[in-house]
Amino acid sequence: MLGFVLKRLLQAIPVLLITSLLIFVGMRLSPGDPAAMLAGNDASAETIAAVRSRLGLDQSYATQYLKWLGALLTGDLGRSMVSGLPVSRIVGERIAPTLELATGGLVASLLLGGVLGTLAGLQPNSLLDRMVSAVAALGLAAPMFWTGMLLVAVFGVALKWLPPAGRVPFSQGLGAALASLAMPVATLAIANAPVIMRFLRDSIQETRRADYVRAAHAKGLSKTVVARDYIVRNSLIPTVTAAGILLGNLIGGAALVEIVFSWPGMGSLLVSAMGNRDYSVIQAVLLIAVFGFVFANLIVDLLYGLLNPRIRHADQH
Amino acid sequence: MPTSTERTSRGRRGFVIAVVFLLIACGLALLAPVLPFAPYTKMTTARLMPPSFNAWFGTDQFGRDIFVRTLWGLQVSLVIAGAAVLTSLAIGVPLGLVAAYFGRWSDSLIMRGLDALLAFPSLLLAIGVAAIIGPGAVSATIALGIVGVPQMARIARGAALAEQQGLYVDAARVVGVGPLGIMASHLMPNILAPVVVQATLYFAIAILTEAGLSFIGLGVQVPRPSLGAMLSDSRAYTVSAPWYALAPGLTITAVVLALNSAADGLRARLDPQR
Amino acid sequence: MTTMIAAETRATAGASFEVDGLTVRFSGKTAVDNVSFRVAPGEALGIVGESGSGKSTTAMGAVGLLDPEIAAVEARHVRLDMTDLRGPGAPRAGILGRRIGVVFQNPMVALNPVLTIERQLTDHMRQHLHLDARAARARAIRLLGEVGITDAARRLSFYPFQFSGGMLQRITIAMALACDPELLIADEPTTALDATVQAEVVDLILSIRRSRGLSLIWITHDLALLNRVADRVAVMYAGRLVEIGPADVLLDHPAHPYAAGLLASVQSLWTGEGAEFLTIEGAPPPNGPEMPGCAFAPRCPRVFDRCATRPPMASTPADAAHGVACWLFDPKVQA
Repeated sequence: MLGFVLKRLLQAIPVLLITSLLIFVGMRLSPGDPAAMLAGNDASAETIAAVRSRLGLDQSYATQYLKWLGALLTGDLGRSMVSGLPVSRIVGERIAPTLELATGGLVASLLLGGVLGTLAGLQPNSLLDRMVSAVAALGLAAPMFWTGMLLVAVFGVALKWLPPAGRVPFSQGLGAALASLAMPVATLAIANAPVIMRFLRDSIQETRRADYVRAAHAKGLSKTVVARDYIVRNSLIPTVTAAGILLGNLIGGAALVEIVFSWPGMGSLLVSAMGNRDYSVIQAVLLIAVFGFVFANLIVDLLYGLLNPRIRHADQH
Repeated sequence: MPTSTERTSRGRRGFVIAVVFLLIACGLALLAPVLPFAPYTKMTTARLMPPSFNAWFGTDQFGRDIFVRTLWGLQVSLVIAGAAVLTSLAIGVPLGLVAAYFGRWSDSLIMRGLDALLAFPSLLLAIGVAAIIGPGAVSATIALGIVGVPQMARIARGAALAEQQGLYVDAARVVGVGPLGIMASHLMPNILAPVVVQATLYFAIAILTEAGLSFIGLGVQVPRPSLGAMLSDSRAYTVSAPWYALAPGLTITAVVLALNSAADGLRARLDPQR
Repeated sequence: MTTMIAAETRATAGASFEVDGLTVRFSGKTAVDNVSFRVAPGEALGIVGESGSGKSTTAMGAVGLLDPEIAAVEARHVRLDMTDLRGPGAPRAGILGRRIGVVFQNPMVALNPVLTIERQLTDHMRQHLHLDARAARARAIRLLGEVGITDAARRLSFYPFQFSGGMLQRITIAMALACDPELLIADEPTTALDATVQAEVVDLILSIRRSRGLSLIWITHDLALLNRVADRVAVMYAGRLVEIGPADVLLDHPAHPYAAGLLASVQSLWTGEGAEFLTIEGAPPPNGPEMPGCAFAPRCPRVFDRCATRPPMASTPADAAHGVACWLFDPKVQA
């Protein structure tokens, strides 16, 4: 298991390097001159040049990249090209709200998708299976931000059960915080639970036909035990890999959901930074999102290894 | 308990319904220019009207017919998503074929490079690309086209690897058919089925992602209508005109649903073993 | 340890097993057609046939191990001693896994990859015999010893992937024996194993059968093996039972032309007479179980007009215990 962990950690490093390079090059290819923007509309060529040299934009790309990378390792994300504030501070305020949202969405999607997928998979072609599959197909097809808007219109505006937008931090009361989190999380879950649900359902369908399941029936085990220990347990392992797909959807989806619910997270920060071409902020947000995604996938991989005895006990034979 | 024939007939019916719906939707979207109300015409006397006989899904904040604008928006979505699918096919399939055929270092180089793209959550990658090129229809197309490449290349590579085991590929090689010839005339036709299924699935994803991009203002720019931008506009009128979001939202959902069902149906027919 | 004593003191622990009129259909298509046989207490019945002849389906269908979603099983009755396993009010629980043990073809896939051997050896024990964890563990260690696995206490914590195929088959045999069954069904238990291990597994099952006095159903396509393992032999062809009788009689003087052909081909292989070895022309008909006449008629060297109607299973004139489904042995034809 230790070897497996080390191997996965080492594999993550080149991915992170390449993605950081892609982000860096991408930002440098962007139209518009950040120095000119920062210097203001009627700045002289000298002023712009001064700003450029202050930002280090007059150095070679290679130098800029290495400097940027070096700064990254010390946690320095540069300064906002618009407000001049340290990017780490701007981004830092936004990380917790996004993590809240993504974690809530992940947990809700796994629970909802896990339970429905299991029920549907164990009773294929039953009424329940067909209903769950139909709802799942709708959930996959509806644009996440539209689902969120419908929820707002119904539960926020018409019924007034939940606050239609905004975030209440947990420090200001658990109930209010959870109420503000409920609709954004539900939006993420409606779109993402179907991914887990379908994967688990298909996986269970396949496992049901496995020889060891028939052998379990031959032992006269009760249906519950066969379903729990033999079918579902084995179906969960491949489903863990689907959680990786889910994480990507959640990170991207959180950006849209944050807009719909005026949630002060990284997604709304990214969109506003795109609006005023604040490249250092865009760069930082993308970088953090990718690092988070790679890291989360790493955890998924490790979890997969932990659940799979073949990897967990690879050292003993 | 449904028998297997009942099940397949239900699946077939779903597939036919999906395809018929898609044809009608495409037809309406293409017909949008000749329908009575032009989308840019402002009928300032009838702002935010609820659905009525004259305007089936109501009118927007400028008094424009939401149904007609939705059809125009759908046209834009279909064109952008379709072009994005073609782009990802044009880049992804050759990459996958080359990786599969030549193997070794070209395989690792191509696939590792694509893995790096996969490290970006797809919507963020699209946002990133759109940010670099600047907002607009062309940049949305390019962004979505790039986002689709890794998956397309993987599918093509996987199918081509499986096909290469076939004796006929060896036979072609023995009689002196070159790599290009083998890829074009032997591998291409045989990987068509999984690639078509993936293209259909990606069409659906591209429509959803395009809507997301235009929702945050990175897609088609005003005054051209787009479904995502309409939904974004409607947020200001959740209280006064709750029907505003209905037509664009339903349209995206229905088209994506139909594309997903069509992909499932195609998979069942073209690729029965998977 | 009362259960342990029970297992060792029973001279013949075997029960009789009777299948009457078993028919299995897969989505409307008949795979096993009206098969009947009886296994006496402590007796070993070998069911032999080509792949696709329905021999496994017969056994699995009889004990209810076919997926009800794809298989429709009918039978007048299936009885273990006096207990009917089918029909209304049949005790579904407590028969399979407890009084009937099953060993499958491929041990590499017959064990749950994510559970330890201990868990898989004891979960049904604990359910059927209501043992606590310690008692079940002690019993599992003893069972592993019985099937020849050394260092059992340590290996209980292992997962299936940590064993070889031969070891795994020993473990599945231990699993089948865990609740002291009265009938053991072995479904081609050696087919998936290396040739060197096959003989060991055959010996193991035979010695366990002897020491425990089990009734045994051994399903195989290997006629030669039946000489060693079976008291009686049932021959299946295209979903139908074509001949059943004492092993020594049937294997020496098969009555049904198919059984005779099968035996001749095996014997020509044994003796290696010349380069030509005997085969039966043609292949089994895919719709065999649904044919109105004898399913072997299209390939039969002795086919005649009556073969267009289906021959019933009847005793051969020489031996009441020897049944054959062939018009050649009809008294009217014989006369």
